[in-house]
Amino acid sequence: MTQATRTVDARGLSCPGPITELVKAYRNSKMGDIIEVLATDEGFKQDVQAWIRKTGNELIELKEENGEIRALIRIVKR
Amino acid sequence: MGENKKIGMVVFSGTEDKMIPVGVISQGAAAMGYDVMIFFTGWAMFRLLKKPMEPTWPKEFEQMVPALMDGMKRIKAPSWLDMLKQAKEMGAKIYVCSMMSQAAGLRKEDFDSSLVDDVVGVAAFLEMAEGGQVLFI
Repeated sequence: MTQATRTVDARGLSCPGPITELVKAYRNSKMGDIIEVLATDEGFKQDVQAWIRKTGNELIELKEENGEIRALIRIVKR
Repeated sequence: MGENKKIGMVVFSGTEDKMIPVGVISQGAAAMGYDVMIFFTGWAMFRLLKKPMEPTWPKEFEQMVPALMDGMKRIKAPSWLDMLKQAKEMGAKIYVCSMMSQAAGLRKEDFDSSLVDDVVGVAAFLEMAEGGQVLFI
C-alpha cells in the first residue's frame, strides 16, 4: 500500500473547503510527495478529478466508503 | 500550474443570497488555479466598506432565509466573507468600480483594505479579464 507523505483531513468541510485544503497542502509539497485527502462533501469526488486534470498530477486512488471519500494523489507537477 | 485560465466576476447585487456564490466560486476558482478577478459595483460595493452595509435578502425568498441559515450552520459552511478571504490568500484580486464609488461619494480609503486591492475603471477591469469567462452576479 502506498504510504502518504501527509494527510489532509477535510471531513466535515463543505465545498469548496476540501479542494482548498488540498491546494494548501499541494503548495507546501515536493515532487513525488503523496497527499491523502479525506472528505465527506459529495462534490469532492468530481472536484478532485477536475483538479487532477487541471494540474496534471496523478490520482493513485479514489475511494468512497460509508460516505467518506479518500483520495491519494502523487505530486508530479509543480 | 502552466498557462492559467481566468475567471472574472462582476458583482452587482450584493444581497446575501448572491454573495454566497460569489464566495464559493471565488474560493473554488482560486483553488483550481484560475486567475480570479472580482469587480464590485452597484449595491455589492457597499458590502466591502470598512463599515459595511447590513446583510439584505431578496423579498421573494425571505421566508426561506431561516431554513437556509440553519442549513449553512449545520454543514458549517463558512461565510462568503471568509471564502473571499481564502480566495484572496490564493491570489484572487478584488476591485471596486471607480464610477459607482464616486457616485456614492466613496474613496479608496473608505473600503476595507484587507479586501479591496484597488479602485479601478471598467476598462481596466475588462482588460484584466480579457480572454477569460466573466460572470455577472
